[in-house]
Amino acid sequence: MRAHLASAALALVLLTLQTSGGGGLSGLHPDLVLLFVLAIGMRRGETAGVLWGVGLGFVEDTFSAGLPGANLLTKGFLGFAAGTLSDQLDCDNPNTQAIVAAIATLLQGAVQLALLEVFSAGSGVLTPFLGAIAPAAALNGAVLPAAAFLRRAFQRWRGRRLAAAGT
Amino acid sequence: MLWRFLARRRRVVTALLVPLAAVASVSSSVRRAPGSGPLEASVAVLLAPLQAGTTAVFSWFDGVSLLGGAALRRENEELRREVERLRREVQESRERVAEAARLERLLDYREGTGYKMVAAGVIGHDTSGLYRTVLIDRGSADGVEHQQAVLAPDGVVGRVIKVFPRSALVLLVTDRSSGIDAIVQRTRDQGVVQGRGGSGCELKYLDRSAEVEVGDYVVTSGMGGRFPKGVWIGQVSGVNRGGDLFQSVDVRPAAGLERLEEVWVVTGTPDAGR
Repeated sequence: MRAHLASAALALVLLTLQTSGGGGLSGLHPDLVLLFVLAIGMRRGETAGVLWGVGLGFVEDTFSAGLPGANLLTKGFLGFAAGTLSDQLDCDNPNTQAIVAAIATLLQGAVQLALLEVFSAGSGVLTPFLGAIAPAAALNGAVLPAAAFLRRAFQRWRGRRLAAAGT
Repeated sequence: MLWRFLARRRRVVTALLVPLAAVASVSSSVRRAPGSGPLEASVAVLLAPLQAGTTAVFSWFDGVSLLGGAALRRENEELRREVERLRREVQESRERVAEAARLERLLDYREGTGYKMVAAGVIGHDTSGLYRTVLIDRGSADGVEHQQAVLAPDGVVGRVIKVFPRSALVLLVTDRSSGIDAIVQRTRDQGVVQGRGGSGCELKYLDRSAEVEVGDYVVTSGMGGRFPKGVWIGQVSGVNRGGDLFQSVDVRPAAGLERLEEVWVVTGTPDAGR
């Protein structure tokens, strides 16, 4: 129960940062919500990945100019894929985390661009893909392993403190 | 029995959940104005104060320099603190002066046009890189409606595309799906200003015979009644006459869209205001 509440609180913070445009790095913004969904999928399986992806995707769609359901669809599927593949992947390996985050960002961007091209004013795919999605994939690929490292460091520090308090 | 069947095919069921939820989300928004659903409105109402707070915190960090403090720390800890405090005070004073100047310009602008307008603060912007939008802190409770024009003292900002009770989403003039009827101020040639998805726009459907030059001003035509007539959209930054029927003209937006803090939402015409 505590873990679920902590996840919900973290999701709220990340959603607020994502939808208010905070937490950027030189004009580039990591997709914090996507990284959260991937992390949940990899740690807790496909059901949790889908549910968090669909829920957070819906909230993102509320504040997006894109097609309704685009974030819900992509994040839901990516959460599901991360959960399904977690059995076959070494999810604690930073390289795996980086590759999963980068590929997921590229896939999400490609789907959203395709939807934009089909249903909205189509004016080229290559420029936004190279200018926005590819740099975001690189940034997300760096942020997910870094976040996982910080999480592990925090857990070690907490474990040491609890052990010290116990003795 | 059913539960056991679902549990056995958990992966299939969860995979089916996603398209079902997406279809439900899309179909629920088809018949309504965007953002007006009860679930969307509740989410927006809950997140609006948090978004405003986050934006305020990041704006504060943007304005405070910590580099000077590091150099002074070497000399004296107390002196460093004093300098930092004074710097912060100066920074805050400058911020207040700049804010007062911006608000004064906004007020002057509103009184000059005669249109009924609502001032709004920018509390968020799109981070995906695919869309050009900002979130403002005024919504249906303040008289903001779908498709209303959004202006800044420097020129056109965009139009409202989603309205929530206490906030609204504004599609910037630079977004790829934004289109505004425009005329070149000097030659009176008519076209449509469309966003390019980056920081620039393009004046489309401009007749090849139009003698547009770099530096010409592009203003709203007032057609359709959404935007007041004659509001500055931008300045011509390049002309390409290579097309078949029309020429393509690059337009640099007049409003500083990357640094928007306050905007006006046009809620009524001069006649409606009286």
